[in-house]
Amino acid sequence: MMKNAFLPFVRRRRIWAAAMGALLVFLLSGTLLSRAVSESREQLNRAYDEMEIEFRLGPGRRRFGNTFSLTLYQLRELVTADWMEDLNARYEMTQTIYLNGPPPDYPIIPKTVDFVWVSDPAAVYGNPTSGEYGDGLYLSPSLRDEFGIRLYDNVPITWNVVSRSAMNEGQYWRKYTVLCAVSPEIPDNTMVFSWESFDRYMRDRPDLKANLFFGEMTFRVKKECRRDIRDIADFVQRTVNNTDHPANRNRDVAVYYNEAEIDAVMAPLEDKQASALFFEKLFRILLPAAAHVLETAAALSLANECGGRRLLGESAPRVFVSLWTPAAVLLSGCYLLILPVLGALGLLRDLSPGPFLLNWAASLCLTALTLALLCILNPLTVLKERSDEL
Amino acid sequence: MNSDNGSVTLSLDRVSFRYPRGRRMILKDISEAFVSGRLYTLEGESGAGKSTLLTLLAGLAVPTSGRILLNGGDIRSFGKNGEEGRATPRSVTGLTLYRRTVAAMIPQANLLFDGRTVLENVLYPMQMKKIDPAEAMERARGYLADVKLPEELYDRFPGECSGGEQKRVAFARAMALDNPVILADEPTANLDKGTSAIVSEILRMLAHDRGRLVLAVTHEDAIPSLADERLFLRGGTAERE
Repeated sequence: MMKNAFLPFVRRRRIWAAAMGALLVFLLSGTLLSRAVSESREQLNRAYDEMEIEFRLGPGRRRFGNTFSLTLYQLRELVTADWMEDLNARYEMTQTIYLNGPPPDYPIIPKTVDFVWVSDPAAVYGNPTSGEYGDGLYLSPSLRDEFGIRLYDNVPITWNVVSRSAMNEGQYWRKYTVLCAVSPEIPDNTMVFSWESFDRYMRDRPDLKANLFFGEMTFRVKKECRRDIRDIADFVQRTVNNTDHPANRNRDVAVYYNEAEIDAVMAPLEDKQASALFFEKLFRILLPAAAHVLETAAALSLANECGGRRLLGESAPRVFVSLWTPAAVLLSGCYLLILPVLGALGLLRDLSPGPFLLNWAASLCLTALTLALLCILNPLTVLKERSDEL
Repeated sequence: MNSDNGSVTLSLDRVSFRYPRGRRMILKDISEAFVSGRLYTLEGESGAGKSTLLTLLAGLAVPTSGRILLNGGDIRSFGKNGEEGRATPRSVTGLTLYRRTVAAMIPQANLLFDGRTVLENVLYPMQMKKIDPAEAMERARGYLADVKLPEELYDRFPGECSGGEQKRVAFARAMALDNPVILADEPTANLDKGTSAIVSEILRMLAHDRGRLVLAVTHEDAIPSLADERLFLRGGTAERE
């Protein structure tokens, strides 16, 4: 029974073998190409991972002096960027601020302190002895004791605004923040702010937010974002140079990173990956197409079988089922056979299930369609020229 | 079918035919009748519609107008009135059943199964009809002997046989259907004289000895000389000699 079902295929074994072979070649080479692409991607990622890439913002060559300035908005763009890692930045100014004392009388206590934001407080002041470096204010234990503020107290801070605008001159600004960390390494005359608190305060300081002066700022880019290093460099350059401030000092902020070194290492790897991607894409289209054309040709080789059986009075559905079933078994067997082969070659993880299943379905559908047409068509229309009759 | 003696009358009732995209009416209002036990030839120039008429009689196409009748019943509804004597699956249309049980056609291209040996080709119709394998084998060998095919060819594939041998296999396969009507399209085309004579003799034997209704489209002289009746197609109409 089984032998009978496969008889037409056995006789046409050359074309069916060619179709099967094409399928195996396509599946195997597709996987190999996938492997090549993923290997080149891994190489590239590894190279990026291993490469030391550090950005440094500093004064431009045209400027004299050893500082550069950023607006608060520019600083915010950098600090909150999702690729930012290991930012080393510090902003410091000495301010007389007015602290409301503890209850019950809430006297306003003027105090001149250094108002500091550091990007990484743990690196500068060590781990806190109380609380943690969250969103809020960090103090030395003695300053905390002096003001009588407890951890996680809401601390109102007020200061006198110095502004060019006469309207704002002398105006008091008040903000609330939470004391959330205490560290003995913080100097007694210093109030350290988290980024969020610093940002909140600075937003209301028109006299300051235009220009925040920094000596140097360094940062790295997260591993997973390093492939976009050139885009990031462009973004940083655009960000720091983009200002509508009349003095336009930011124009002279320079962005330094080891671009030439990165290019020297990455360019050959990127070229290799690009060609792997190109061939993968090309063969992903050509090879399945060739395999499917051969399958269709193999199915067409059953034209005589279809025609003869229809001529002998076998119904079209029966002929279709009895021919397509073994064809589907052969094709599916081929698809399934490739799995242990790829497993043995260690390539199984490079097989994409989506395209694999899609091509499997395409193989079954194409042969089904071809055989259905052969079964439905009048046998003589397939095999006999009737142009003389028309 | 006439169940008493298996004889049939196949008739054309005002049959006209035009191909679906054709401009010309190939067959025009033809009415003819053919009966069992006789050998008919269908002759005419190229393009006269001989093969088309044979195709219609084989149930491979349906007339544009008119009917083809088997013992008075339209072949399109064959089997629906119990001619076959048993229930048939719904998927089997009247014409399919008609081809399986009434009209065996031997096309010019033979349409042999190239994936099966000569013997398997002849066995296939009987396997299809679920005839006992031993009996089928015996009958297949008998049919092949009837068409005078040497035994050493039985296990060969059609592709390994000559044109004349293939034609004889096609006849044997058609005989294996055990149908009362045999339709042959140019059975002696491209055959040498000797083989042509053998094929003509097979046609005669089928009609006169086996009582089949045999209709052969031909250009050659060999068959008409043995024919009981000759039908000529000219300008889409039929004339008897």
